[in-house]
Order: sequence, then structure tokens, then C-alpha cells
Amino acid sequence: MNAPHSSARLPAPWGRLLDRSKPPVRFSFEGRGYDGLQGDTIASALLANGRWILSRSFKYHRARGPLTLAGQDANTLVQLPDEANVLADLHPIGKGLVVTGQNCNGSLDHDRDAILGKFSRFMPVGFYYRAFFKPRGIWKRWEPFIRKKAGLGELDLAFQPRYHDKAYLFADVAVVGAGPAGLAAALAAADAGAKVLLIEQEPMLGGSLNWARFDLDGNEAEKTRLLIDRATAHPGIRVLTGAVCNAWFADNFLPIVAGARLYKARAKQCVLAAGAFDQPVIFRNNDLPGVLLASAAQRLMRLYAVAPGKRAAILTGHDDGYLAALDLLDAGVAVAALIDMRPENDLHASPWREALAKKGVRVISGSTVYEAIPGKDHGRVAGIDVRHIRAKGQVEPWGEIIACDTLLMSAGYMPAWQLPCQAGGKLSYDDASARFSLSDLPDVLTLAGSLNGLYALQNTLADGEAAGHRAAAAALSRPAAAPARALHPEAPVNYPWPIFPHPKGKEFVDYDEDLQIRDIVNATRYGYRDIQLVKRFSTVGMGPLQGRQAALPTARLVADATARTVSETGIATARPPFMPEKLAHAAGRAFTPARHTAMHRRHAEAGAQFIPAGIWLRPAYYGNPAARERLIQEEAAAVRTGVGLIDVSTLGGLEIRGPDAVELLERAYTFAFARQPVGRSRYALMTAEDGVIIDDGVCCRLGERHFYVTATTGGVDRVYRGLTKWNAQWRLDVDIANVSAAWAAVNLAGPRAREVLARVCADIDLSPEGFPYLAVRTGTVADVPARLVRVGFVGELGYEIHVPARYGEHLWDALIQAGADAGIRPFGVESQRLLRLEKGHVIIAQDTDGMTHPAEVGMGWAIARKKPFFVGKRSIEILEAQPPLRKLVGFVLPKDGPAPLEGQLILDERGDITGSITSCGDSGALGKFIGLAYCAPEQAVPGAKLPIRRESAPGGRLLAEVVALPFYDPDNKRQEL
Amino acid sequence: MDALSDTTHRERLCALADLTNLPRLGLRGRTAAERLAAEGFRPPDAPNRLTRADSGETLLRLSQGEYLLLGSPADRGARVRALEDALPKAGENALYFLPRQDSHAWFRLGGPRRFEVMAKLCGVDLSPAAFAADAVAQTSVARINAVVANDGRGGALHLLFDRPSAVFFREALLDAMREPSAPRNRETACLVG
Repeated sequence: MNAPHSSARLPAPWGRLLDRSKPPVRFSFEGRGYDGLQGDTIASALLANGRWILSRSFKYHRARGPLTLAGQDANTLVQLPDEANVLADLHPIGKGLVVTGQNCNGSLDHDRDAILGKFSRFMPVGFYYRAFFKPRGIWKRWEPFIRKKAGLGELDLAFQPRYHDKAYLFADVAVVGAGPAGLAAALAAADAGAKVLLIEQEPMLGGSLNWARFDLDGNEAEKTRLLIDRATAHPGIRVLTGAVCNAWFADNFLPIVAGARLYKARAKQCVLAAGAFDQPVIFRNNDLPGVLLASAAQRLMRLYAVAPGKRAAILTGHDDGYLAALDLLDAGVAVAALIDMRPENDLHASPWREALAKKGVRVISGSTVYEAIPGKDHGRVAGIDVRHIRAKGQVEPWGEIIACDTLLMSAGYMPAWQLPCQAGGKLSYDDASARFSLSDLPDVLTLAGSLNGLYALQNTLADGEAAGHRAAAAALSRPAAAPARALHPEAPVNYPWPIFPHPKGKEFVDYDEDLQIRDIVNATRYGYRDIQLVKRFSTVGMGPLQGRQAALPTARLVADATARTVSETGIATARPPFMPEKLAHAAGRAFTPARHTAMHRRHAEAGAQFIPAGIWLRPAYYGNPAARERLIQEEAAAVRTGVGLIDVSTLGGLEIRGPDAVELLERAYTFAFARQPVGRSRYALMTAEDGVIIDDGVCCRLGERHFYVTATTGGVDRVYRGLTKWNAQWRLDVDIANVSAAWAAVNLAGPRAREVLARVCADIDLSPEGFPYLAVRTGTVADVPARLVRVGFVGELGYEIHVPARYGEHLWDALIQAGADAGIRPFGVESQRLLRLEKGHVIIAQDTDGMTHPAEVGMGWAIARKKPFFVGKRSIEILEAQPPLRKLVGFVLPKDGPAPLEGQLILDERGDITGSITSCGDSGALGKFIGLAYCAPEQAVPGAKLPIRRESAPGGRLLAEVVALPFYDPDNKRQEL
Repeated sequence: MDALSDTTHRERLCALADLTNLPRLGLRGRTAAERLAAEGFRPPDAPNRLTRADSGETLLRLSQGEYLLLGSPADRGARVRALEDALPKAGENALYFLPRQDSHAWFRLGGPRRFEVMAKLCGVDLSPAAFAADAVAQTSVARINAVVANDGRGGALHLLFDRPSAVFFREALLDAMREPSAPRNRETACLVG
């Protein structure tokens, strides 16, 4: 149990985020029920109940309580039933919420793995890299143990994804951070007429105005809070609260996570007013429960009305520690002492120091906490060993023990450097004054407030206002407005060396990764001088919160150990995301376009099994997948013996019209079209400049200056782009329209196709003489306008019928009805592939690759060599002048042996690879396995044996026989019926 | 129900109407504007703008020489259908007909939240401040190409996009409309055409 420090809530106005009018909210943690108030986070509610241990540390399983109370440390990571690694200081409580600890063996209060802390000297920095790989093979023994121990929370594998989505936002000026500087910037920009997006991570605007103290009586913050009301009511400002700007990308493209939504914001100008991180002091046991940042204690009191303890001490390196002490006193917390690391000589008289003195608070200057002493309350701090600072990082050998149950600490502030550095900014640190500065920022980005090293309230307001004016002027392309107000001088806020090594260690530099001072120093002794290498070797800054508190002390330690300045050392790269981001945010509302043909519904009704063809969905075959092979054979047989109908709407379609239409086709395709008669179609093969085949189709001449050209499903966009480019480049007078979507098309194929078509087509002479093979006709089919082409792709009498897409379903219905007596059967892509394979027709991009030129696939006949020019002509001539490297051939295998598979390798006699199978299938018409394959030219002889590598076959290969193409109907009598 | 006549809903809700069956056509070429003017339409002065005919047709100018004419719900597109029937299809006198009724589906998104819905689908700022009335944008919406027309007088956005993608696009739009904070958004089928 861990609840003796129970503290009643402080009275209002403490607890700014609480709604005390609502009934308590009951939830559980580690199996025990707790009551919180509306507005509480899990952490604040637990702290209100005196529960301080929220987690166990990553490596040593040390008891941990909250450190920042702002979601900036891993000490508050807890487990929800369906979500691991939830930040308890950000996640609101809810009725019935079940919360447990994580990364413990037993319970949080009694973690059997806490003993690991006693062996820390046996787990030095980098021991993962060095301990588990020698002797050879030892990793196999370590791996199960480490896998079991590694990681923090547990995934719920039965988790059901929740709805996440994305949306775009647009603004003239985006302001990140709505503290005093951000509010001032947003208002200044909006008053200047800019459309402003104000992004705030907390649930309410105000930032430090909500919890910090800026003066003796605390009035200044309250007065300044009026800006919140102004910003909220301003029509030019869109406010996003509870929203984290997780990165800065070029041109102010800002990903913002807000609840279940990822906003993608684009702003003309961006003002970053993200504030600074309160920094811990590095001393022994600085991670005990009850030791927290001064700002965390102030947040706990002001936002959640919880006093952090009964008797507190404060360790500070700047004046804000005094203001925190005043807050503690106001909240009724006894202040045992304020320990100021600065030497007495450096301390100037200040009203708050006097105020503390008047209240009897002891101020110990030039001193530090050397060690926090755990008590019996589950290790919560019970006292501190205070020592006088003798020199940099060194203390006197004796000190004073002061009893306290809470220690507030603040060594200074480090600007939130992540987003500015992602924008290309350079973070510098002046070792003499311990001040940060950011420079080299892009023109579209302005910093304000603490990011500019300003902490005095009036300075941050003035700076924010100036930034807002500047950003608005730039966004609205106006001259810069009001000059910046003069800033008041400020005292330094960073104590230069708040690091105090202890012989017994446990002075934590990185809380997330349990890294102590010696871990960082030892990393440099192993030779890792570069901060990036220190990071990778020691894992500093690689924990859940990416080194918010560790970056500065690590830089200081590395600088000191390598005799450089902090600026020379630098800090590790802070890549996006700034805060943990769920994969769901990236996955939410992902668009996956899919195209349906006009007959899609009919296919679904007929039991089609769809496969993707590009983004189209096409019927693979119709019927039960369990009977796939049989169905494909039946569909193919229907086409060979009766009549079949396939939806070919996915074919590309291009309308080529105009005075230079013929000229364009002559130059773009390999074949000749100048003498192509109107009413005839012609095969159209396209090659690229390098002579490689890139597409094919059928070119139908509908008029002297009017062609309708088909293209492959996947290639039509490329063909369209190419034609359009050439049309412009060659300055031809042609109109090219991609009408692929506008035409629905079917192929009615089989010996009975003419008979079926005749029932729905009365205005076209369908006789073999009136409508011969390769002819093109226009007319009506089923009373709708149609273009018809006599094609032979599947090797039977066939009609490709194209109608406007709006009539596609009507056409399908009419043909199915007309063919009912003839046993018409819809067939899918699978049987079409088999049927065309029997005819030896290649499919571009299946039987060709990025190197295939026409001669390799026996398409020399499709080249008009007398033409003066076509794209690829010169390359083809060069290629054909070389000895051939490979040929595409047909092969057969007996049905009683193993079936070949696409992709299987073709070998020569020595076993060297000469090619591969591009297409193969079980030909019902031929009673054999058939296929197309690339092989060496000397193997491409009908009757030759073609070895196919197949490990399971005798000798590791099958022996196919090369045959002449086509396999089926070699005289092409059937398609020309 | 005909969504277009349901003005109450149109004003209060974010309503999606499928106008795919309403006639429309495209014209391109050096004489396209001249022909449209001869038919009594007022070609926009610049690309990516639209004009409305008194009889309810909407004429979009998509480039220097390309136009998209949307039929009027008032006559169920009869005027545009008649023009389509009269136009030569082979391309004559530098005038090229484009079969936009078959190549493009047509949705109309009405209601005060329409711009908010589009911000979930499109990376271009289509808010009223940036996308003025009678402006046209040719862009990517939900990862497919689309023509978006801001019909100021009609108080709606016209969305014209790849017809085979209509099922996908409709789902994408409905998903964007199903905002938890806007439960009254609804889809309405249009019986026009």
C-alpha cells in the first residue's frame, strides 16, 4: 500500500482545471479504487490520494513518482487495459477506468526486480552491446531472458482499432504554444488581420499563466490571463487546445495531434512560442518519489489543487525557486529550507527573498542537495543531505541533514529546442553565462518568449507581440508594423553546473533510461566523443520522452570530459515526433482509391472473385474459391466451345482527333497508320526511346482524322502523358483525350458470339464479309450507341463492344439475356489469361520487362521499318544489330508431371540461368501445361529441351519442350470466322 | 426525394447529392468558347472560374480552351443533352467534344459545413476566404483527381471526378461527413436525370 500521505484538496482558486461541481470520478489503480475530480489526470488524482509511486524505472526498477507533471518524463507511464505506455500526467481519469503499473515483477509497491538496482555496477554503460555477444553463441541463451525483461507496457492483442482521422488546416500565421508569448503573438497577428491558428498542448490556453507565479502577490499572472479571453473570443484566431504540434516540416507544414485526429496544417508564417523545459539537478537519488521539478509542484497545486507534501525543501539555481516557495507557503506546506546553488555573493536582494525571510524560511546559499534520503514510505524522500558547494561539481565532505517529504528542484530552463532545430535552427550555449540562443532559422519562422531566452513576463509579452506583428506582416505581404518594445534586462536563469557526482552513484542524468553521471562520462572514456555516438552507445535521450531533461546535463558532461564547450559538443538531433505519436494517427483516414467498372455490381451478383488490376477491381473468375481451378477451366471451355463474356472496361481508351492525328500515331507507335482504312483496327505497339516495349493496344480508325486507341489497363496513364508531351513538343494539331473511364467495354467471344450479338444489334452487318476480322464498326447494341471491334485476343470469334459508361450495366444485362439460350458464361481475368496464352499473345509487363525489345518477343512484324521515325526506332535498329541475348519462346510440359510456375528459372546445360517463365497455365484445350519463357537464343528452337529449375523434381529440374507459337489454332482460323 | 429541392436541409445540413445521372459535357478547342457563346452560355473570362446561366446550367472553364458544362436540375439537363446530341464527336473545326457525363461522376456537397468536410479530404485550402465563390480548383481529393467548383449562387461545391471511383469517393466523403460533432450530416440521393 502507498497512501499515508493523503492530502486534502486545496480550496479554490487552486485547481484551475478541476470542476468541483461534478461528482467524484471513481477509477482504480493497481487494483485499488480511488476518487478523483472532474478535470483530474490519472497522476493528479493519485497524488491527491497520496499515491506517489506511479511506475518502475526501465532498467533498475526503481520506484518513480511524477517529475514534470507535464507529460515530459517517463515516470508516469502506466498501463490501461487496451493501451500501454500512457502518460498518467496527461491522460484524464474516467469513471471505471482501470489503470495498472507496468514494467514490474509483482506489483508496483513490491517489485521483485527492484533488486537489479543493487547490481547496477555490473551493468555499466553499453553493457548490452558488450555483454551478450561473447563468447560466440551466448546471445541465444541471453535472448529469451532479455526479451522477457525488455519493454515497458503490454499490448492487448485483442484490441479493436478506434476511429482516427486526419484533416487539413490552413492559416496565415500558426502560433505554437499559448503561453504569454504565444497569446501575445496570436493577438498581435490577428489584430493585424491575419488568420491565426493557435495551438496549445494543454487543455486550456495560458501556459505558465495558469500555474506559475511571476510576482510577490501572484497578481501579475492573473491580470495577464485576460489575454486568454481575448484570444478565445477573437474571430481571427482558431484555437486548438489539447493539441500537440509534433514536428516542423518545410514551408511550415505542421502535423498536429489532437485527440484521435491528426491535423496537417500549412501556415504562411509560424511563430514558435513553445516555452522551455524546467531542468533537474543531478545528485544522488534525484529520482526518489517526492523529488520533483519546482514547476511540477506548482502545476500540481494551481491546476489540480493538490499540495505536494507537508514539509518541503527547494533546491534552485535561479529566482523562480523563491516564487515556488511562496506558492508552497500559500498552500499551507511547511518549507524546511530553500537551498540556492548560487553563492551568496551572486545573490541580489529581491522582494521574494525578503518575503521568504519574513515568513521564517531559511535560505541556504552556495549549497546543494548532495543526496536525497529515502524514507520508509515506499522509498519516498524523507530527508536531504545538504552540502556547501566547494567547486564546480564538488561539495564539502560534511553537510546537514534536513527532514522533508518533498523536494522541489530547478537548475534552470532549456528552451524547447526540438521544433526550431527541425527547422534548421542552430542551438548555441554560452558557457560563461549559461544562456541558450537559437539562430539560423528560416524566414517563415519566428521565435518568441522563452525560446528567445526571455523569462520575465513583460519581456515575453513584448517579444510575443513583436513576433506576431512580424509574422502577420510577412504573411500578408505588408511592411513590418510596430517596432519591438524595449526589453528589460534579465538575470541568468541557468545555474552553470548543477551536477554533483556521488561515490555511490544513482545521480540520474536520464530518468527514462536509468543513466547515471558515470555512464555518460564512461562513454566518453570508451572513445565516444561525438554527442551522437554517446547517445547511441549509452542510449541517453532514446527513452520515451527523448531526453527532455537529459540533453543539457549530457552535453555538459560530455563537454567537460572532452575539454570542449557545450556549444562545441552540441546536443543530439531531435527528430519528429516531439511527443509520442500513435501509429493510428498515421493510419487514420488513409485513402485507398479503388475503381469499379460500370458492370461491377453484376459481377458481384454473379459471384465474382475480384482481384486488383492497378487500382481497378476485376473479376478473376466467378464462383466458389474452393473450386477455382475447375471454374477457370469451365469458363475457358465455354469460350472455346460456345460463347463467353468478359468485362474489359479497364482497358485504356484514348481519343485522338485533329488534322495531325495520323502523324502523331506514326511517330508514337511502331506500326504504320497512314494507310489504315477508316473502319479498320491495327495493332499498336509502343516503345520508349531506348527501344523497350512499354505498351500495346489496338488503334481503331473511326474517321480520317479520328482514332480510338486502346492501351493496357496499367499503362494508359503513361501513354496519355507521353502522347500529350509529344504533341506539344512536336507542335502537332491533335486533341488527345483520355476517355478510359468514359467507355464500358466487353469482349463477346466464342464460336457463337455472332449469333448472340445479332440478337441485340440490328444496324450493323455482322456477316464475316460485312464485319471481318480486325474491322471496326459504330452502331447500336441493345439500343445504345456502341463501337465494335473484331478482335482475337482469346483466339475465337470475338467482338469488343464499347459503349458509354452510363450504359455499361445495360449492355451487360442485354448480352447475358441474349446469350442465355447459347449458354453464355461470364469469364474472368484468369481464364482470359489462359486463353490468350494458348494463342501465344504476350501481356505487356507480364511477358515483357524493363529490357524487352520487340525482336525478343517475336514482334518484329509490328514494326514499320520504312517509317522515317518513331519513338525508339534508332535504338531498336542498334539492338537488332547486336547478337540476340534472349528470346521468348513457348514450351509445353505433360499433364502427368508437376506444373510449372511463373518465375521459375530456365537453365542451360551447365545449369546457368538463361531466363525465366513469364506465363504458364493448364491448357484444357491442349491437354498440356503450356507457358512462355525467356531463354538463350540457341535454346529457342522448336523441339529443343528447356530445363526448368524445380528443386522437388528429379535432378532438380523439369524438361519442357520448346514449341512454335501459337499453341492453339496456329492458322488463326477460329478468330477470323 | 430530390435533394436539390429540399432547401431546408440544404441550409441546415451538410448534404451530399449524387448528380451523376444529370447531363454534362466537355468542350475543348480553339472554337469552344465561340460555340458555347453561340449556344447562349457565358464562358468565364479566365481558367478555373465558373459562370451560371439563367436557365441553371453551370459552365466551368478548366483551361485556356477547355470547358465543362453542367446541366441544370431545373430541366433535368435537357438543354445540355440537346447540345450533346448536336455536337460532332469526331472533332471538327477545332472543336472537340469530351464525354464528361461518362468519364466523370458528379457530386454536389451543400450545407454550411461543406468546407470543413473538404478540409478532411483535400490538401488545398478550400475555405471561403481562400476559395472564392465561382472559383474552380483542379486538385487531388481523397487521393483521386477532382474538379471542385464553388458554386456561389447555388451555395454548394460541385465535385467532378473519375466515374469508376464513385463508390470509393462516396465512402470517403461520407466518412468525412460523419463527424461526431455534426451528427445531422446526411447523404441524400438525387433522383434527377
